[in-house]
Amino acid sequence: MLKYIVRRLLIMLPIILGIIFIVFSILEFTPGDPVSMILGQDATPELIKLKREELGLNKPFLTRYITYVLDIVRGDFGTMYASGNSVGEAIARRLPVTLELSILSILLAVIVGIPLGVLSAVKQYSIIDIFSILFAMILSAMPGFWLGLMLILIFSTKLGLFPSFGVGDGLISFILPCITLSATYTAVIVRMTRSCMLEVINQDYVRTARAKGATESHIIGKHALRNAMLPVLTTVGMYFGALMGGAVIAETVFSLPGLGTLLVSGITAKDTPTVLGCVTVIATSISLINLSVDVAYAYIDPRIKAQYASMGLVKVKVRKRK
Amino acid sequence: MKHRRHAVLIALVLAFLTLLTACGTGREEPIESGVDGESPTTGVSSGSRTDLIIGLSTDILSLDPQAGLASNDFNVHMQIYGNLLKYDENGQIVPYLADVFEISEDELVWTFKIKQGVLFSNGEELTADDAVFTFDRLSQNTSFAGVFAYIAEYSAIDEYTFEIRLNKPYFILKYLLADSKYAILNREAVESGGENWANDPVGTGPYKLSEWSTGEEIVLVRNEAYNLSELPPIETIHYKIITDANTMAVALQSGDIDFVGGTGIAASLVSQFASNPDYTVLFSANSAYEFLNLNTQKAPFDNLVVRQAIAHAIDKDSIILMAAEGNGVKADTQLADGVFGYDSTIEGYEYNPEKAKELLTEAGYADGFSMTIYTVGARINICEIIQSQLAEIGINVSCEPLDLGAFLATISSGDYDANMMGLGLSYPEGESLLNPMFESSSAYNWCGFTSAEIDELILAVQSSGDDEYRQECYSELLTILRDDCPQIPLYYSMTNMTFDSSLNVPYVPVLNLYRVEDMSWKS
Amino acid sequence: MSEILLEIKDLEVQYLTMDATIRAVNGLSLILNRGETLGVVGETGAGKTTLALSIMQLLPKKIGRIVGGCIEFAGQSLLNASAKAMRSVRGDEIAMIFQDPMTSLNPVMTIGDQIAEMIELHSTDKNKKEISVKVDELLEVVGIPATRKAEYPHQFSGGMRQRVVIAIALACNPTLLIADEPTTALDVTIQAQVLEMMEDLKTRLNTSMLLITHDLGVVAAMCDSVAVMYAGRIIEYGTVEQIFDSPRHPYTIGLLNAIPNLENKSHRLIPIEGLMPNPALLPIGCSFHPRCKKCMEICRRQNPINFDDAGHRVACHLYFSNTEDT
Repeated sequence: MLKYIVRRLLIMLPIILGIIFIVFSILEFTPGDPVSMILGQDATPELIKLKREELGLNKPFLTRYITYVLDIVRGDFGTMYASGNSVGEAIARRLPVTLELSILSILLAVIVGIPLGVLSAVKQYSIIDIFSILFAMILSAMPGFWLGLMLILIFSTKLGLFPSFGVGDGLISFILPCITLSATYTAVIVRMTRSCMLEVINQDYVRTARAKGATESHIIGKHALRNAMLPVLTTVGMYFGALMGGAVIAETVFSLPGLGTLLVSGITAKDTPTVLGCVTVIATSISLINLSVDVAYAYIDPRIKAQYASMGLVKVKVRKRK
Repeated sequence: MKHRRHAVLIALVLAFLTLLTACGTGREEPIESGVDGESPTTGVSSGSRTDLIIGLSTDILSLDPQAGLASNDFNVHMQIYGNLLKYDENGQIVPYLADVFEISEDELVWTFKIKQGVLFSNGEELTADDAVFTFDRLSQNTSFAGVFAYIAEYSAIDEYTFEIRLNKPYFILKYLLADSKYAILNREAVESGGENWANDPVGTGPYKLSEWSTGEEIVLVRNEAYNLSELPPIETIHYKIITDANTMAVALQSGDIDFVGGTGIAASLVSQFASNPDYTVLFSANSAYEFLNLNTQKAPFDNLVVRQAIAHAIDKDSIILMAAEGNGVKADTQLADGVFGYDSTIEGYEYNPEKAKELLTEAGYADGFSMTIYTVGARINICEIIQSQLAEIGINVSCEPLDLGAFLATISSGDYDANMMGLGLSYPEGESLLNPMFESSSAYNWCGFTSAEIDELILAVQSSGDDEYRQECYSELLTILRDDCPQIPLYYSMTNMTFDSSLNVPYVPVLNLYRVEDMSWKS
Repeated sequence: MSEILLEIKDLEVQYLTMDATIRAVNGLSLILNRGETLGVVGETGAGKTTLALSIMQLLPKKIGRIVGGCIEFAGQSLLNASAKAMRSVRGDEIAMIFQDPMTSLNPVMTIGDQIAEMIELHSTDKNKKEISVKVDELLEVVGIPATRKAEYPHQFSGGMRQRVVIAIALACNPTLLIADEPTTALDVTIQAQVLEMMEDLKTRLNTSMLLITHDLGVVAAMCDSVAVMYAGRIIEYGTVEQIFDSPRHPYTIGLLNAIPNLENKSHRLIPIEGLMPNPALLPIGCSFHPRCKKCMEICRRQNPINFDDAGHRVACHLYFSNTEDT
């Protein structure tokens, strides 16, 4: 198991380097010059040239790429072109917000979605089942932007229960944004849990458990859930990654100072250090999350643990004949 | 045994999450300095309020005034720092940190007698040496290289006299000196503060920084050492950063914020406040200007008659109504009323589609032609209206929106038919727009229009201190531009300041740069 | 005189699907005595598994329904039992072994845990240590080293998994063991081992067994009595000797004839022609009549009742010499 984890960590490095290269190339070869945008109306060709030199933008592509990579490896994310502010500091300030938003959203989706999915599988075709399918459909149909604004209008303006912007009020500030973000994912988790549970409930070993005289709740809790959770876990891992990069909508509507908005503003300004810094952090987070999910698999399903162990690194032990 | 392993794992995950929740609300390292800000007292009767909550549409880049790029930066810097000159409530340039400001006969020596006894927020007295230090710093920044090309040298003649020697007359400098980028910094504070001196900014303004939670909020408190005039009635300013226009309107509606300045409330949302007596909306129409450029280097736009035809085909009133919800003032020339150089006698091309068709036929394009208009962002709406208007005279327009970077790159390559854009004024004088738009070598000349005459006239307004003469030059400039029609002025977009009616805002500031020290709560 | 352990009378079980009603069990009656091994024999589709599931009340909830008859176990009616009572019966008094060992075990639980679960469900007084000891004992009994109890099902072969299943079934020392084709999915050689083990356990623990199979060889080896099932009914019942030496029902005769015989020099197998009837569309009269070589007029009209002769029962009109077409 440890070898597996180490191998995965080692593979992460070239992947992230590759991502940085691709993003860097995209920034390089798409039209748009950050310097013109910084200098604005006062720009003359000489000024532009001066500024480019100042920012090191006149150096060749590969030189800049390698410099960036070496810097990032040393933990130096550079400074923003326009303000000279440290990218690393900005990321460090914003990463916790995005992380918190993502984690809480996933938690919410899981806490609401899994029980609902289990219930509707166990009571297939009942009122609860129909309700949860409808619920899932409605949730996934609501566009995030609209939902966020609606929540603000109802719960912030009319009822005054929650703040409409910012993270100033601690955990409460995250409630409306999390509901907004988790809506689609809750719907998916409900449906996925339901179908996985249905599949598992009809398996032979569940019948064996019944034949042992176990109660329904024991069967669901001890036998069915664990087997049904594997695909759901995959989904959770996938969505966590998506949330890390894609929480932009909630961050914008609720004015949360997170990574998503930093990345978007960096792209608009073609501020390479900002974009690369954010992308590196996001890519690393997603890789680590994927690794965690895969490791969690091994704990849930021993067959997968055996698979990891036998992935060519560990020799199969041959039993000696007595 | 296995259950224990699971329990440990779950406990670890939960602990990790709790840790995150405890630390990660974005408030971990607010940049504090000096006095703690008071918490705002919302809902208290306006008479006793001493705080003001302002909605800011983006976070500021930095508290270093020389790094300011957008109007939000300038707005905040203006409360903290002071300049040698400033705009008064009528938009006129007057001395501020200087008592007296003189320009020599040969127009090359600018002398400032600095007020004595003015204190920075750190207790240091303002001297000419601080001005020298400020200019040293500016001269090292490439963003200001264009201005410093006019400056031969600058020095402190004595403790309270600062002198700038130009190598040729440049009267635009007086506007620049009032711009927050040129705010006077305290040598002591910046040198001892090192790289991060801006975390504890020191200025001569009526307010100073209390706290900056990046991305969230900036809190300013009254600078009790401020002695340039009376202490302002508002003691605390909370700038709340609200990035979404809808959320901004909702926040104002619910009383979470009191005031929105800068670009104000979005045009589509402002009417609900305008019709509500609890809120006051002050419009101003002299800070941004929308226009349609034609590439005079490329056929058929190199033909004056074609350009005039297009000018006649555009119905500016419709555009203002449909794209800006009526929040705009029709532009006959490039300059709006309130901008120096404005000439009300110069008329634009009236909307006359028949005449437009005639002119097109005269130019040999009776069947019309196709063209592409590049634009940026939300201006696509305006473009589409132009598209339908030009279709009436047989011109087939396709609109292409680009992001700013791509736009600049495309236009600078020269490969375009037309573009529709807007520009803001840096100072209330025509040169602020006309120079970048029409000077031959300017990177913002997006109509390929080069004219020695225009260049000369621009030079003239830059280097003359005679208002009458300057106005003559502007009138001539505007006439040439109207006659040659490389650009069709569309309208001046109106920005607004929207706020709680209990707040007393005595004047509409030039360029939307408001001073909180002049505001107060009505009792 | 043996004591009756399990008595089933006129049991009728149906599956309700959207297309049709499937009559899986149609008026089935049988008796199992304490200490006896009763083999239930029949082709695929005869309703044998349905019978087993009905006794355990494990029919698929929405679809399967017991619509008639009664099942009595040790004097108590199972059909009237509460859910709670049924749960305490399952595993503790009646245990079941299913057909496919590959899927009968939970892949993410150790076999030790799965055996322990059975014990825990029915005896709340044992502590962890005692249960662990019992698990080791059971594993020993079925021939699996106790050191392997922390391993997972996928680490065992088919035969060993079936042993685990048997260990689970016998964990609480049930009175009745229902084995539904326990060796069908195993290799012949392993089959022999497992059957031997079951025989041994059965004798030691004095467990009664209802052995469901389609393999007459297994019946011959293991069973005391045999019940032959066709289209949801028992059409012949008797001791192993009675059935094998003097089969009465044409179907039973056909079954026995169909067994390939090493001594017989003929090259061809003798099948029973035709197919088992569609349980949704059973023929009127005797269910077997379309395939019966000895079919009579009355067979097409009336379902035969049992003809009993010293414990050897057969449901066939042939044996009612008194009956005449009326």
